[in-house]
Amino acid sequence: MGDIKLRVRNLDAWYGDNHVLKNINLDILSRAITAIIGPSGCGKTTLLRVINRLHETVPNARVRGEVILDGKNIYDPDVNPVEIRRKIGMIFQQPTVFPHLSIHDNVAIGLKLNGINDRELLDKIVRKSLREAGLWSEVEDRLWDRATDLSGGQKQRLAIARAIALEPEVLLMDEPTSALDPGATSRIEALMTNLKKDYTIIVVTHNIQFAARTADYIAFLFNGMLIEYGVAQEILERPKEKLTERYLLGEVDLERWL
Amino acid sequence: MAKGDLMEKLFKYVSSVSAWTIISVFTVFFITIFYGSLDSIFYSGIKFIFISIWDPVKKIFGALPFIYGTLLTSLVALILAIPISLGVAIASSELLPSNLSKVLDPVIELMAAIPSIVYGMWALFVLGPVLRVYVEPFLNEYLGFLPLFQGTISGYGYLNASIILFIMILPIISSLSREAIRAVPNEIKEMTLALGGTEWEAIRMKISVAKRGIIGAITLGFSRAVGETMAVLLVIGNKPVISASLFSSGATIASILANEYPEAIADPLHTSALNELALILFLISLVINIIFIKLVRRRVGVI
Ligand SMILES: Nc1ncnc2c1ncn2[C@@H]1O[C@H](COP(=O)(O)OP(=O)(O)OP(=O)(O)O)[C@@H](O)[C@H]1O
Ligand SMILES: [Mg+2]
Repeated sequence: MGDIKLRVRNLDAWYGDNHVLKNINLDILSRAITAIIGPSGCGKTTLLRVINRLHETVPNARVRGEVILDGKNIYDPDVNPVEIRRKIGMIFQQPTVFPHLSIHDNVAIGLKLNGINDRELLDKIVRKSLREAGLWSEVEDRLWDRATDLSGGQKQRLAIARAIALEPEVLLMDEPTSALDPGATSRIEALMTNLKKDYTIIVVTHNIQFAARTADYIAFLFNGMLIEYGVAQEILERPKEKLTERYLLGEVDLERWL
Repeated sequence: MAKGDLMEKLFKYVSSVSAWTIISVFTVFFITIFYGSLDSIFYSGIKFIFISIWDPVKKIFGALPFIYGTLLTSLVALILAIPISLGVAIASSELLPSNLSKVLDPVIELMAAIPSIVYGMWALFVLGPVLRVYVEPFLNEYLGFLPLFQGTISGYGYLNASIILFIMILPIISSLSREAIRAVPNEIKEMTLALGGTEWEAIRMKISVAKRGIIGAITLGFSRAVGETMAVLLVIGNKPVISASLFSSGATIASILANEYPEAIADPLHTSALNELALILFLISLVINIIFIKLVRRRVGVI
């Protein structure tokens, strides 16, 4: 077991009156991949957005509890959320591109926002990030074209390239493979395995096989509650909770197991 | 044949007829104005757009004062309107609490719907005296070293016309830019924040995504200012002079057309000269729109 990078403590989150996350406690290990699984609407995306302080940008959204990154609660009043978001990268569930920017600038934009303007350095990082995201060979001839013309899967890899260009300490990935074919998916898996040497990765997925192949730890969320959390293999092979077992078997009507 | 197929055929037919109607109306319009201008074009030649004397009695027709007046008043109006309407658009789409923008939005819509004669009367009875008593003396005293703010103070002329044009295009540019910014998906903002951008950088990103729409709004406002007739007619003084002073009387193409048509009917050459002015107005609008298309089609690239 490595060090703990991120501790989530007694965390609750709301959208207006909708209590979306209920008393979550979770320790995320450094240099490992933690997968968050659970049915649609259970709060997976919200959990990621609470971890990089994006949740609070939604009107009427509220958070209570602590998220401790390297020993410091990121919800302390003296913490600047902008600093936190620089350290914690996020790849959104819907692969969206900046439609007014070229493919190149779609990757460079994060660096530019963080004050890096040196052309050569930008080009170098853009190239490296696109390679790592497995997109380079498909776009090297049209780096300066609009990014809107890319396919869904290419946009998803572009989003990955954009996030890793900033070399964040923690990478939050919300269904990074939902629009990818098996080939591209296995490239992303290889990328994640490679990235976890340096980064802490939290990945939301609906794809149990994907979680089985990549994750070191798995957290099962249901209805805003953390039902079970542990080493991936154990969760998948010998879940302690009936609910987890049912979910993994593909049972739809889970409420009665609660 | 299925009913759906028939509907589809009918729809295609109707829409292509409509499209061709527009193109034909445009063509007929252009040809008749051009045809009406021929006498004047042959009479004055290229001098028409370079001479600054307009004297129908002596049969001297120089359009320069009107071209100057049109561009000057529209540009001053635009320079005032761009920052303020963008401010309004950003405020009501991003910054104001939603109950406040629920009040602001219909007010802007209403302002856009007021007929131009009402703006003109307001400029005549309210703006003119205010300019004469307060604004123009003030500008003259503190910025009088600029030729723009020298000359006789009257309250009517280029400055009054520019300000009323500014007020008239403000709601158009504001509401269209606001809609352009609102149409940008919120993910753009969230993605920028997630990359470590500040709130302000995230708003700026939305604005850059909306840039096409905003440029379109500005173009429409500019076209409106160039073509506005009634309000300008009431306050600009309708004198064919070119003056560097904003306090001076002047005329625009549209205002002189409205002003002189009744008396020109008796004189075919005068009528033809007015037709040529209309043609020039038409070309100015065309150039503005071409520039707009060029701006919008510019290649993607720098952030
Ligand atoms: N912006 C929002 N405003 C209000 N409610 C929201 C918002 N986003 C999500 N919710 C609600 O919060 C709950 C959790 O949503 P969340 O997006 O975290 O689910 P999820 O587990 O990511 O689901 P999925 O697998 O479908 O992506 C849902 O009930 C959803 O309706
Ligand atoms: Mg989600």
